Amino acid sequence: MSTHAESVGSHGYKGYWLLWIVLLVLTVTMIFIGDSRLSKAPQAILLLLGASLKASLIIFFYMHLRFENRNLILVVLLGIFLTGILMFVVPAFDGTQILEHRLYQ
Amino acid sequence: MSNTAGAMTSPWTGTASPFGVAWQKLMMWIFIVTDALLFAGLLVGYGVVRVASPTWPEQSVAFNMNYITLMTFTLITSSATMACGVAAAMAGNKKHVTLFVWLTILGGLSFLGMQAYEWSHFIHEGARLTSNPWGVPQFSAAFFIITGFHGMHVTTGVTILLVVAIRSAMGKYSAQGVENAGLYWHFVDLVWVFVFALFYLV
Repeated sequence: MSTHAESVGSHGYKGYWLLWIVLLVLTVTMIFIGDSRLSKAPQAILLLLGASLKASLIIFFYMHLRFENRNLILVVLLGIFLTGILMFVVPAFDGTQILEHRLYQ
Repeated sequence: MSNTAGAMTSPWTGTASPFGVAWQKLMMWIFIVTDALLFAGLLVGYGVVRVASPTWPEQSVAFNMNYITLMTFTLITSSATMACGVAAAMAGNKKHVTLFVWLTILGGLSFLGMQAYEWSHFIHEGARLTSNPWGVPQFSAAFFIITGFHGMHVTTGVTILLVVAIRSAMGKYSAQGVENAGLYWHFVDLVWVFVFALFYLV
């Protein structure tokens, strides 16, 4: 069973540069979505999905979370999950109220 | 005697390592998660303000999007060089550690330089924390607060990397120190991914 250092250090640099290309491609794709004629809501959802995908790749491959102990992975993912709830669920209440306010104005 | 041995291996004595990592790395991960909450709060605040505002300026009017894209590419590239630096540290390749950490510092300084130029350009156009020429005061307030907080994190990251690079050049680096610095640097890149998507693209 290899240690964390062995797992990280034994793969060379090629994988990191391949991921760099993937991240650049995703960034360009997101710019196209931002420039598209889509309305703001689907555009925001697509961009958030793109950003979440990029963030996951960075966390698992650049930050080497995939090589970590299962307990650490669970703690980090739980923290990120709760952060996600804060980002998406909490403003949804205010957003709904604001939308209703506008519709009945 | 057997009771003492049993107590020493109990998780409550502090001798066990349930996360399988050194405490410095565990603390860095916990810090990253809590710092992510800080940025989530800022971005949520921005989202609510934006939804509540009847109008919002088109980003392409206020910013040069090609320039912002270049800033993003610079930060992503610095993340790739940092990952290579960490891998070199784990493999014990001191020469590559120094090279990749300096490349990462160069990327960070380039990003900060570009951000300073963007801020000065924005201010020159009349944007302030409480007002701006595009009519929605919250627009410039959100810009200065979110990118300012992120810029402070980049500055801290560059400072940490400078310490790592100098120690590495002196032969005093530890693989774990490089990895912890790398974790922080990747987090800075990760936050920018969301700032870029939510503030500049939506």
